[in-house]
Amino acid sequence: MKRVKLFLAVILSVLACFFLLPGCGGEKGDETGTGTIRDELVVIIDNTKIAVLDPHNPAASSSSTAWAFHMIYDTLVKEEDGQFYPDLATSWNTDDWKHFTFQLRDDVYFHNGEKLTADDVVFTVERAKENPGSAGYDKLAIVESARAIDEHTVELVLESVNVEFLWYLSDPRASILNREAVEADPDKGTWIGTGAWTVSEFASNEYVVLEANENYWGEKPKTKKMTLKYVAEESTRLMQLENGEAQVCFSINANDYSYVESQPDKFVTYSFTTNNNSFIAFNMNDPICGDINFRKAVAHAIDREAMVASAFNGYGEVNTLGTFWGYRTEFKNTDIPIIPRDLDKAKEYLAQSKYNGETIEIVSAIPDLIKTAQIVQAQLAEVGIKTTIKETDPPGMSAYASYADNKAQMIVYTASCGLNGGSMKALLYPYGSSNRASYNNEEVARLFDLAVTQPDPKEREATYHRIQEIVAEELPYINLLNTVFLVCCAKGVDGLKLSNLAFHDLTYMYMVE
Amino acid sequence: MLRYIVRRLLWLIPVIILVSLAIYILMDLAPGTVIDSLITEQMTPEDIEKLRQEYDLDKPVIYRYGKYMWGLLHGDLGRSQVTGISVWESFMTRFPATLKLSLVSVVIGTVLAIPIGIFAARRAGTIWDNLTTGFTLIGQSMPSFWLGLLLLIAFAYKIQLFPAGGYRGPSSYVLPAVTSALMMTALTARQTRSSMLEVLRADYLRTARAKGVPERLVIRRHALKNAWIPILTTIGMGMSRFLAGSAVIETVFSWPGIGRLTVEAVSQRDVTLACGCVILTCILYVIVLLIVDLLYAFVDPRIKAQYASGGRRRKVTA
Amino acid sequence: MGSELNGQAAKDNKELVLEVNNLVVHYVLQEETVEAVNGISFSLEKGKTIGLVGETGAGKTTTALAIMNLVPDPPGVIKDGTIKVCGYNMLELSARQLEKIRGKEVSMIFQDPMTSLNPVITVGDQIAESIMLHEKLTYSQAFNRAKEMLEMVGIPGARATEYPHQFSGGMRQRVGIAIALACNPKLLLADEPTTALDVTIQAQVLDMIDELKRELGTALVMITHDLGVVAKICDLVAVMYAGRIVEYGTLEDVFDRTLHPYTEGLFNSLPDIRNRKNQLQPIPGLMPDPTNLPRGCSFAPRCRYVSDACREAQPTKHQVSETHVIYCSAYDDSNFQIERARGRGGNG
Repeated sequence: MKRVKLFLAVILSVLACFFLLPGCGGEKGDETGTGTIRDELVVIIDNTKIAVLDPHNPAASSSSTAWAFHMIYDTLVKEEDGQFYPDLATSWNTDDWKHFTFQLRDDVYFHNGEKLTADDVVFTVERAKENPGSAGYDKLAIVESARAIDEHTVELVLESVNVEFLWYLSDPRASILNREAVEADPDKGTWIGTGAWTVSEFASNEYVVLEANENYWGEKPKTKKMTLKYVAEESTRLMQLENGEAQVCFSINANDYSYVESQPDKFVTYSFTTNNNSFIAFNMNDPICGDINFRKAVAHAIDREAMVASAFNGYGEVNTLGTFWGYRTEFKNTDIPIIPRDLDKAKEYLAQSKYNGETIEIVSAIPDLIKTAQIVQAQLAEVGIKTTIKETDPPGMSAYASYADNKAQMIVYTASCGLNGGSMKALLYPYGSSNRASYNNEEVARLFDLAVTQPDPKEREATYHRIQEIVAEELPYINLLNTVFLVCCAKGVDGLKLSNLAFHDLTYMYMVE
Repeated sequence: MLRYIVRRLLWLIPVIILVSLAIYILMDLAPGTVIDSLITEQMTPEDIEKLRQEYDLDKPVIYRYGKYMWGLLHGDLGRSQVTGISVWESFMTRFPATLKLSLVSVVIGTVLAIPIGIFAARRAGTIWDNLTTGFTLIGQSMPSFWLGLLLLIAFAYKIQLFPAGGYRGPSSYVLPAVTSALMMTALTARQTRSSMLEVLRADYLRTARAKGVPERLVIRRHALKNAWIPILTTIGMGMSRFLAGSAVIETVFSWPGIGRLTVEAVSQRDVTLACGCVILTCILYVIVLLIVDLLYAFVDPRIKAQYASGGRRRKVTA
Repeated sequence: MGSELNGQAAKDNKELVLEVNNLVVHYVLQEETVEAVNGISFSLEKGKTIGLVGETGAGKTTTALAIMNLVPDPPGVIKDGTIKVCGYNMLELSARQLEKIRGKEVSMIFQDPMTSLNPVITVGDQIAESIMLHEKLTYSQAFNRAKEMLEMVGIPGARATEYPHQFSGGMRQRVGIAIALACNPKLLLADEPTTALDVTIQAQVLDMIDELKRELGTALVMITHDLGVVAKICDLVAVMYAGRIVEYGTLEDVFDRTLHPYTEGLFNSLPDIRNRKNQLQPIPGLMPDPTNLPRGCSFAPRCRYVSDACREAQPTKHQVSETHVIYCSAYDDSNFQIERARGRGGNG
């Protein structure tokens, strides 16, 4: 009897511990009438996760991590519509596009109270360069040396001339860290930035809780507290939005888009089209796929509309141009016509190609694209091309279809395209990290190298247009479509700055209740 | 007793060696390496080669495994190859969530299962027994993914009683714990029923009744105590399974547990993290089962006597 | 018939500890009904011992369980009859009242000491439990009493903290006896307490039961198939066959003045040490199927004196003396004698 009572007591106290702990999620701010701004916002981030809060960590390359960086840190310059504006740097100049000097603000303090100095910029550049594989390295590796001229002046010298350098500097992953903080605590020191938000709690791959920085040097956020959280299960995201556990969701299942859009009194939606193309890539080293006639046959055989309709629920922007370029990447060549669907032509080209009834392997990863690959398979079957689909995951894709050792024949996949022309090198330049086609054209490589030395936008435009013409002729890639994403918010949410790169700026997001 | 514990713990060594070797080999066979999770736009082939060398990916898998085991021998679980955070720390930041959910689930599961099992056993053969057996069958065969979503729709969406996932505050435990507990409840209730059925026929219960022991004490003090061992085993298995974390339940309820950590590590080809997670899970598993074994001795003096005499094999059935 | 017995006891103005009247117990199964006990009556005075003798399946254990009102239900059903233990009507008491009487007024020693003790509770606690339930004592007081009880049955009190598996069979039966006697019951039911024990131990245990019973003034129902045991400690004997009492009397009545053919059969199946050349004469045949008892005398199919009348009707009762009763139709013929009686040279 005594034992039984003890047992019950233990159980009850264990339960009590859990149920009496303070702090239920989703607490509301001031319970006032309409027109007040909600104190706290909970944001369900996209399908990527925030693994680390350190731009120099290889695990910090996801888009949602960039949102947090936007909020926590500042960059030297910021970009809007291809123009650059002061941020931490009040002004900058360069004579040769190799030596850059930046004049820093002198009223900026890090979250730990340290004042921003030129030395912090030097530290940031040097630390980024020590961490290959990180997004910060990606942006800053072209800096050969960094030097503090005085407390608020810093000189950055590039390895070679690069007229697109400011693009890289404006990336949230090129944000400025604090030397003292990082050196004192390599793990959590990187949580210290100069940005409008401070980190109050962080659980890797789960959530980050941010609080408005009362001492921010610029315009202060309207919201007091913001949680960016990852919700693994798609179907619970809409639920959380509907029952008020979250106010913003970047990753609602595309099946639910039409439902959300049909409820204007409950939700407000914002949409953006990703800059990333989904594509069919051909392994240029493959005997069949290396044949231009085969590639043209495929290009004439596919129907993009069908893909949007069935693999993307209609939420995709079909390419209407023949060029293979990011959706909003600068200097897009609008004169290249798309190759239309024409089954007769497709069969004609196929007859001229080396294709002889072999089964071609299509490698794909990620559910939507695997669906797309299946549609491609069906469409190619119409003209008599037999294919089989190999499904893998993103690391498997990288291993399978890498530039130097390409084991694939055809690839249905996607790649991130930056906004500057040079970012397309990842897909089109030898050894490019996303060069799934193993595409190697000396002229294209030369033109890419040339473009970044051409300060005059007109000249640069001509160079990039030429690249696109060559690529359109050789057809290592066939562009398919750009996914349209819907950001679903509770009614009253505003102030969100969306980016086609998916590097959204949530700093000034708020919700009017 | 101490010798017994030490011997059980020593068994961990071959287990760890085999399990980690299996992970190394399997993950080496999977397409892609951790580098493929790390490649970014601007990386040059030289950078990639440098990374490959840094991770010893240019050397055979057995070399990497040996190096890992050497570190392990010195108590170093290594660092995640993707985030660079120490494996121990990555694991421990997730572990509390898993541990707490496991405890709550086991408590809920046990508190429900034992009365249900006793109820069914005492009415063996009646409609009530059939009903509870049916219930446990359903509980056992219901996929937790489906059940979890069902509970979410009912109690987080329709009746907004609990949050739809997340690990914040006590109310967030309810749905995931109930979901994972149900499976265990079903198993434990069945086990309780069958071992109670066996015990209810025992002569010593008649002895107890003949002494004038009230019926509820006959069940609770005399019968249950004898039925405990198989029940304890089931509970222990349940607990150790919960501790390994369930990627499914953690996904449905956005629970920051070990299961998802492990699955993600595998999908990123983060061998050190995956291996570390599995090794630590193995250790937890063995420890929980060891505790269960020690509890046997606590509830059954005959087993205690065996431990004390250094008996080789323990008997599970009473 | 039973009422006469009772009346007789009342006449003697003795204190009756147990009165069983026309007890009928059936086990109702889905397919069939086992007629285990079919109307038996007997009574027992304070401090006396009655032996219930019979083959396995004669209904002895069921009778004992019925006295405790512990017949497992389902499938056991007490169809008819009354049982009074120290004046309490056992079949009409509430569960709570029964719990108060069991272990206190009446207790039981079971056949198999290996299984009748709870393996996971110390023997001291098993004895003390009974004491705590029936006497308002604290745990430590009860435990000390338990130690005394162990000493009384010849086990060192220090072993009270040990578990049943640490004891031998004979010692476990002593523990069983200690449990049964812990609260000085007025009535003790011993269900073949020595059957499972070694022969050498049997005698010890039997002696002990006998001794303790005298010491404590307990009435005893000794269930056994061993006539030797009966001879040793019983005052009265009831011979049971197929759920009925066939012969009832004092030890001398039944042993020396045996009348019933079945009782005779039992004696004949015993080896005789003085006449080892004598062939054993086991009773031919088997006990009748209790789910399908014959219309007439149940023993008729095996009885060497059987007549047609036996097969047709239930046996008639013959009150041979004040203490001696038999149920056998053969005695309707006043000249009838069984062989054993002839050997004795006449009745009485």
